[in-house]
Amino acid sequence: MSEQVEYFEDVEIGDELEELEICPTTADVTRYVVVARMNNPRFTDDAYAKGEGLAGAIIPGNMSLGFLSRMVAEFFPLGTVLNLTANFRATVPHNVPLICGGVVTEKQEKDGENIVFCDLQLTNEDGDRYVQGTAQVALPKRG
Amino acid sequence: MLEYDKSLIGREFDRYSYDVTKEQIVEFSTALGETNRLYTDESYAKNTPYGGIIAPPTFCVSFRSEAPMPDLKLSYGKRGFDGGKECRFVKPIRPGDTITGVDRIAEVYEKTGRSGNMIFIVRESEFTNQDGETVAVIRQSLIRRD
Repeated sequence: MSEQVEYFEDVEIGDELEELEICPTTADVTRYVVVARMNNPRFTDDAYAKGEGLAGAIIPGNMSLGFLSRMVAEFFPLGTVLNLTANFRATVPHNVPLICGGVVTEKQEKDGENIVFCDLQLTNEDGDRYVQGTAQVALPKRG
Repeated sequence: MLEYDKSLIGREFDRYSYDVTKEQIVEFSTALGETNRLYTDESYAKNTPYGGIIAPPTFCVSFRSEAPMPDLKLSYGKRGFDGGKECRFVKPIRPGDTITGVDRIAEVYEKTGRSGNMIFIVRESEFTNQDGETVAVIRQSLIRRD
């Protein structure tokens, strides 16, 4: 993690969030579905997933959302994530390098909170978009 | 023309509770590769404004209802897929909390796209802690079509 932003004053519209590069393996997904209590075999069993018409086992949407949340929290270490949305545009396979990215689209001071709005996406290395979403993060001001 | 059982809208169809432990929060955080020690390191978290470990935002997805969705008696829509999620995080979830989830169908609506008509079913899960405070709300859109 080479870049972080701590305070509201340091954020500019158009700033890009530090990308998070990951490559979730089948073992990673298996570990996640246990702790997230997701017992659908389409997430861990290739044969089952193929029986559902998929190319193989897929990463749960909740796990993709978790990676986007992690990227946001790592870039804004003093921030409080207030809201996350995600639209799942395509299924995400295991063992493929993925990139979480985002850009600041708006800043607002509202009801005593300093809120940064971001657009988010999860893509593969070719830029194919699997998930797109948004985040709202409350940041402190200096002093 | 979309027809369905409108009496089910807004009606609670499941209620469930989970006790939260520090170990669950640490395991969930580790599974996502979280690097923020606020989620995993008690001695670090004690010296933050939170005063102790809290769960990462999406931890609330692990509070899962076992109940099937009620039958809306949709007039079409044999196939279904996940259309997306909207999560609102209101208060931190901490070890020792007992979280109660209440599930409802919040709304049903129809959209017409290039490939035909689709039905959007919005399932809302509201989570409260043992003090009755809302900690998070998740709205999940399920899309159905023929």
